[in-house]
Amino acid sequence: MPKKKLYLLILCFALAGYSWVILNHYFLKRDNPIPNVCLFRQVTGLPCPSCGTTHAFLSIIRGNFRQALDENILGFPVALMLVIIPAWILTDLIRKKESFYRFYFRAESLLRKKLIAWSALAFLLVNWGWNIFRFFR
Amino acid sequence: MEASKVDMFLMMNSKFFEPHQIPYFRERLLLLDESKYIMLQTAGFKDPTISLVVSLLGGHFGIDRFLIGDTGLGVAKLLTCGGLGIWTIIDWFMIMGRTREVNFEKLQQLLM
Repeated sequence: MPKKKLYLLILCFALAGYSWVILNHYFLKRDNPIPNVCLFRQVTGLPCPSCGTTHAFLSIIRGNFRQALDENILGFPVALMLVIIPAWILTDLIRKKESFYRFYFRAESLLRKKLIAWSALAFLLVNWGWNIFRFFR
Repeated sequence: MEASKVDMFLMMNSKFFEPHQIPYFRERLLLLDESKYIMLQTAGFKDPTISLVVSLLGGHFGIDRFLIGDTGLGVAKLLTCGGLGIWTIIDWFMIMGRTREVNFEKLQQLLM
């Protein structure tokens, strides 16, 4: 994928992500939460591995790390990515460098390594199990 | 490479690429060394139809993106409930084209 396309795509995702979080924050403040939009949950009635990430992200922003852990641990990597990646890309664009572009492909090839991929999958499955357990608790 | 071999390769693998890329590949393959033929045969291109089926069934978890090698975007899709469901639906229409694009990039690398 060309550098420009990747950067544009990620910046659009980050913008959409922040808009979603702000929208949720605004609606939650008025005690009128947005109805669940997860396709998997609507179809099966079960939460998907990343259900609860938005609430976890909002809890992290408010400093409630314990609550964020309970909502979905994946909120932490998402929060980190949403803060670091857009800043990194903007720095790259200003300095006319491609350090993030190189990092992205290095991270991709690292994730394709068997040990890392299987560990990530196992972690996701355990987290999903916990998510489902919490849903019925 | 011999014209008959090139045509046979293109006939067998045309579904993996966009139709407008075929004439370009024919030109390039004709100039290619004979020894690279076996490499081309074993390149393992991704089938766009398979990726569509995977996208329909597991697109919500980003499995379609993982399948075609877009690991980074797969992770993004997985962590965002399939892009709030919107990206999942968009990918039902986009994934076949993206698979052909990935195959194109792979063949380009082999031809270099």
